[in-house]
Amino acid sequence: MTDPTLLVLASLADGDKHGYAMMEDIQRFAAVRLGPGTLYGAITRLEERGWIRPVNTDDRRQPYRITGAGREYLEEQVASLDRVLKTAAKRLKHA
Amino acid sequence: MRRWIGWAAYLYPAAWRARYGAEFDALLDDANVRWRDLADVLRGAFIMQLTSWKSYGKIAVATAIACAILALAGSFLIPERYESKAVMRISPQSAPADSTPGVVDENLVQRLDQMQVNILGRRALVNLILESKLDLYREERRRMPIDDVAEKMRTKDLRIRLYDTPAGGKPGAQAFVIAFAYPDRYKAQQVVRELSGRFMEMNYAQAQRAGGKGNPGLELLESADLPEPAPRYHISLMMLGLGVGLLLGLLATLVWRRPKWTLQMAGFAAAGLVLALAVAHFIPDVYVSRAVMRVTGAADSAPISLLQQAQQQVLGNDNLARLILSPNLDLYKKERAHMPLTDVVEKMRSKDLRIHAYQALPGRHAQAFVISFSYPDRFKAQSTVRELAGQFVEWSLSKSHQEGYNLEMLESADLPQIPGSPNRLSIAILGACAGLLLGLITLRWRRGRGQQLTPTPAAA
Repeated sequence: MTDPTLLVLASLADGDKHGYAMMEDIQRFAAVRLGPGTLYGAITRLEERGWIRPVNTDDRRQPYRITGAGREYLEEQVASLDRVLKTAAKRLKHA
Repeated sequence: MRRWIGWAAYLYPAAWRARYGAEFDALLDDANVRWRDLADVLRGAFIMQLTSWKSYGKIAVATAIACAILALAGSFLIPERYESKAVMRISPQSAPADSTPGVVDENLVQRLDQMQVNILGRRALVNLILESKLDLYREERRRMPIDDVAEKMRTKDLRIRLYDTPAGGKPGAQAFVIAFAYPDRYKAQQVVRELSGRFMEMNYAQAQRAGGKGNPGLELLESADLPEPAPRYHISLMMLGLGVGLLLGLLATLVWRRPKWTLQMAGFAAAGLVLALAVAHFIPDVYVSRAVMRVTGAADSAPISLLQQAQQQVLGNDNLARLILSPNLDLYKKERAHMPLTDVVEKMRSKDLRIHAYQALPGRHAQAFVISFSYPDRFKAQSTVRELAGQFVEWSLSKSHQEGYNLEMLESADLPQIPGSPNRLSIAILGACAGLLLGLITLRWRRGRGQQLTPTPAAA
């Protein structure tokens, strides 16, 4: 799974994070390093769609929070991926 | 590296930088950025530029500038055109009755007119084009009939105009310029030299016929020059490129921004285009045959009124009906099956048959005129014009003794090679435009209907 929007949503699912924290978190759990351009491209799209929103802060580092709609979308995507993974695993077992 | 990426971040749209710039900088400060991050930021900036309306405007402007530069470069590749000129002066044989400046001597104009029509007639120009030492318009002759090439030469490349500056010489003398534009400067000069020579020869022949000596009244003031390149329209072409580029840029941004909508509109336009082409395919080709005639003779006779008299006689109902029904022409067979003959005659006279004055030099009475007839059968079009022109000449012969004028044929009816109509390109463009319009209306209507059918949250 390398879709940057899903990776960002997955990273924010356990709490608010700023850009660098997301980058580190994603590298840790998905072993994918998102470049600054890719990461902020995903953040821009997600904010436009209302799936994440900025959290008030005085720091230069801007944290983001996942919204209800974003969580719903992430759940749908995870369920869909889960179905695919289970089916693939089942078929591999029978093969 | 950090500095390079910081500069690359300036390539993001200004609105994006205003919103995300500070936090993006903070990320760059925190992250251990590498060379490949530079490519990532550049790619991100490019994508971001493509996804905002303001950026679409920038893209359109960039496309326009690129096209303008291309058009400017292309304008230098267009072959040079050279215009050679010669100035001649024609003087009246005798002192004019009215020597007021600005009043043109009618006899003089008539002489010039006669020479001009003979020298610039279709046959004369065809001979000039095919002359082995000139061999003009070789490319055009491969794809166009020679008569059309001669017509192009006469209407586009060759100009004979009265000279505005005082002519000098005898009172009432008139200077005129012969100019010819061509990609080969030596040939341009040769053509003008040839034409001015022919004017001299014809004037000499006229003087001989009148019992005179030498070449009275016609002088070559400036012989054909070896021309410098004509000014090329770099700026106009650049502006054209700018306009086309702007349109293309806007179209590209529209496709990018609303691909589905654009695809639907393109579908409607294509359907309109195909339908129009299918319709155009069934419209029969119409060929136009032409003949050129001239009223000559007494200077005080009014050629236009004589032409009107001749028209009344030759284009009368009975004569046209006879022409339509004549066994060798047998015109308008289909129309005659469902229309009275009088209506067919009226259609022929009002739509397909044309007689108009032929003015070669500006600002004087028309003495030459063109008879043209449009018909789907090119051979019948030619025969009809030939028949009508013959009738004009016959009618004039019966009247010329009393009235003191003469009607002569300058160019006999030609056999048209290329249909004059329908213009299938225009029909296709019109069809595509109609398709676009219909598409716009349909999509708007469907959108409106969709909004009506969507339940409001309260109703849901």
